[in-house]
Amino acid sequence: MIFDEIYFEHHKMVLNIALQYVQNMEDAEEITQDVFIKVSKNIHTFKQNSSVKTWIYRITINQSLDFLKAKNSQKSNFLSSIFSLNDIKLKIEPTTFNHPGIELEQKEAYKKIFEAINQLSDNQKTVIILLKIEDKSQSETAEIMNLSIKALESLFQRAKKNLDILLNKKDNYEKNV
Amino acid sequence: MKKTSNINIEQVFDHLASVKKVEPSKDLYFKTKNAIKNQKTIPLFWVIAAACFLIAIVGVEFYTFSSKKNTFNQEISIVFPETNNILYHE
Repeated sequence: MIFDEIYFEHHKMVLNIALQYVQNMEDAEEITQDVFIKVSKNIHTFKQNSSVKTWIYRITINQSLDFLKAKNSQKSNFLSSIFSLNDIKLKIEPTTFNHPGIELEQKEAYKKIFEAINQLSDNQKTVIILLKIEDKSQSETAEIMNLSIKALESLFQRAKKNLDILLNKKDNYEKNV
Repeated sequence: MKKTSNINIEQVFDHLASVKKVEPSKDLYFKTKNAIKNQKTIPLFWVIAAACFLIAIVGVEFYTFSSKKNTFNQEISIVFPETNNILYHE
């Protein structure tokens, strides 16, 4: 399969998924580039056990999560070196919130939702993004995440419960949205 | 109380579903292509050449070590001649 063909078929999907993880265009574009660098490197070794789309979804999710981890560790190292905060667990927001898919007047409300999503574990974050933002079916999400439907359902229930806890601990979400 | 929070989470999901899809910029393709071009990858030819070179070095080392060992054995046998405890002209 030719690289350009794969790129133009999937680049929008890659960018939008990355955007749900990092919530700003600059970082999402950087992730998109990294995803397609990986695709171009591994395109010849790709075994067709899964579809190209599922393969690219997995690369995008892993790349986004790695990007967030790298960014968080950079920030925490920088801050701890300045303030000698080695013993204090830093709670850092992963990125600047500037999601272009959200209207300006709703930005503050959505920022709170995404802050809560960002505090979930990697798998819980991914299940919310795929099922609720990307509107993927359960079977598609299960395939992408390499889980059984049953495992996916229980993961989603845990994510939903934790998100509920996180949102209700915070400000009054209802007023803003 | 619990019921209210459940409604909230469903509302949250409704709002998440309304996040709009974003169109990628046109120059993202060229940026990606450039990034792929600028990737510093070592060509396979050089990887194979380096591997052959290493194997050759190890081979030469092994050969010189084993030939040195033989010379040492010969020198030892000159100093201490081996006897086989067989009587001649028996």
